Amino acid sequence: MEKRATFSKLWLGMLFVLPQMLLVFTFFYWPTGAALYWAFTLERPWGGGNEWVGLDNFRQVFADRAYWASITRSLIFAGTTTALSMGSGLLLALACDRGLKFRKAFQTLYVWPYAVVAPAAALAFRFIFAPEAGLFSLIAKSHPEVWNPTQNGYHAMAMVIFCYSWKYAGLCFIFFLAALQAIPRSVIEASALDGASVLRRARDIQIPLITPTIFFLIVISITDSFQDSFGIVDVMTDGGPAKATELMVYKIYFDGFRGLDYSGAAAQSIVLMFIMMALTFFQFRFIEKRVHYS
Amino acid sequence: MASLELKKVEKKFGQSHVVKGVDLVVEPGEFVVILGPSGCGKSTLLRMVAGLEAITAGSILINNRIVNELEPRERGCAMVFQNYALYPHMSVAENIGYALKVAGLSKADRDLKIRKVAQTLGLTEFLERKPSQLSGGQRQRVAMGRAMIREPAVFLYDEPLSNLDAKLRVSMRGEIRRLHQRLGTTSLFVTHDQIEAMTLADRIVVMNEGKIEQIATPHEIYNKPASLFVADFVGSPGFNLIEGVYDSSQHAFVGLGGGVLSLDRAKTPTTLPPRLIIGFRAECAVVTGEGSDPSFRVDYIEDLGATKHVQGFFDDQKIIIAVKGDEALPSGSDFRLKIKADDLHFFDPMSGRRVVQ
Repeated sequence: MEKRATFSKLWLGMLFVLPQMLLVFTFFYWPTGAALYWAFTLERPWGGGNEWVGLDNFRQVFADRAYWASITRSLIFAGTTTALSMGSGLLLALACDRGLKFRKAFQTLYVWPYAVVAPAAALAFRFIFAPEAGLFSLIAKSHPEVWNPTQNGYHAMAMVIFCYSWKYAGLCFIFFLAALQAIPRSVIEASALDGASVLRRARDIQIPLITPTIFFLIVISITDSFQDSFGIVDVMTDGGPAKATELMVYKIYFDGFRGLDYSGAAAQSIVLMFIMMALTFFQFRFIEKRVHYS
Repeated sequence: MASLELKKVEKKFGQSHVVKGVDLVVEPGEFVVILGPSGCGKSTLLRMVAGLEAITAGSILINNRIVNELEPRERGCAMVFQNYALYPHMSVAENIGYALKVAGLSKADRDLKIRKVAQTLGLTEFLERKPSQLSGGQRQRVAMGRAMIREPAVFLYDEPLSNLDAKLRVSMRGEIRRLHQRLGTTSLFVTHDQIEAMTLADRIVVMNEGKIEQIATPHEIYNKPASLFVADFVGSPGFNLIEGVYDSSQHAFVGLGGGVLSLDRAKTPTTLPPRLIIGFRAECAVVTGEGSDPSFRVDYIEDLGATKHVQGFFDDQKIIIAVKGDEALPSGSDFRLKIKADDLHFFDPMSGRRVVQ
């Protein structure tokens, strides 16, 4: 048995737990509970009571083709951003782990994007990618069919995906680097003596040994991509053009606070919550089997 | 079988000079042990041969070919690491066969060779296990198997036995010796354990502070240490070193405290420096009963069963004598020491080197 420090008085222990519980309750259970309640009632836009409508809100949401489109979009967004940010993060981490020149400087530089808040990053990229002025305007002016995110939905989506991945690559990088550096040096050296080239070593030795980190990053970046994408979409595209970048979380905001359909938005957020739970469950159930915990 | 040659090999890590010009020739099929205290540069030397560490100056030749610029995999060396460095996510069979897989051998060919190596090392029943399911000794064997299967030109061992318990160490030592007798692969073995060095080596290289102190057979290292360092480092319970001067008129050694040890004229070097350190092994001195000329005073005795280690003083300088079990030597009493002329060693305190005949 582990030895535990115990409080002689129950109330003293409770007192210490209270602040944290208060935070969790205020910012998690209360909003979730409220959303759940709203999802089953019809809220009047200007306040003044509500009425119980059962599953009507959900029926309405699922009948909406725009909603299904936003789910598809969110899944595509989750898949591509996770692949892009993890792929580039891993590549940079492998390079830094090799101990190339100026490694320390790059190490710091690569983490910075994650420290930039999403809307700020989005604003910067909006100027870079804008078709009217900025770096990409040169292409946009001569070849509008190649680059025009204000008109072309695919271009807009690509832009949002790029910006989000850029930001999250920094997070993936730092986790991957830490995992790679935890591999004993002698194991890498042994594989070098066994004749494996740098790429072969990465494939056969390093990547299999960091699967716990890969799994962890897949789970959190898919989950985060459903939530954290809001700031970037809001600043860069407002969900446009023609709703081409309207992800689930943005649609919740848009329907709720612009469309004043609180009840529909609440139902959507409950659906979002269940999708995230299902995805996480799926990952633990099926992907974790391939993880080597040493 | 390959030869290995090191020519004026140096290594600097920034300001610290770790290996200071090492010359060494390992004959084909020879088993050479590099022995030294921790931090003497022996592991660095081995890693430079393997190609895991760049050489600051000098050159390394394997089979008379300079390998300074070659990648580890192109040198034909296999290495057994101190912590085994097995691939934790691969089975024993995959660990042993990884080099062959990288080399592009077919699965059938690989399996055949893996089976053969596993049989040699007694690992057949463990082939499907992961390294984490093996004991220390088994892991050690897998590491050896992984090195063996490539049929390397040179075998490199980096303190491979130091993570094992004492008993296992002895049996693995025997296995390494037997394996070498069978395969005859040129081997370089690094250790700080003198027993390992004495039992395994055809020749021992004693290193200290990045330099070679002596290269010789175990017998010669033990019986003719080339320097004070080698004398002190090799052998247990120890080498007695007594400082004094040479008195040429009576042809005797006079300790700093005035104790006199007369020398055999026929068996001492003809030219001895005026200041001198004489040395002899603890088991080479014979205690000859009480006498009026006190030269050895017993301090205390450590009884090890088969032998007794008698701690005492010669002429105020601490020495240790090993005697057979049942001699009674009360502490505080004085005795005389008798040392055969052949067992006396003379060193120059200035250079620390042996005074040769």
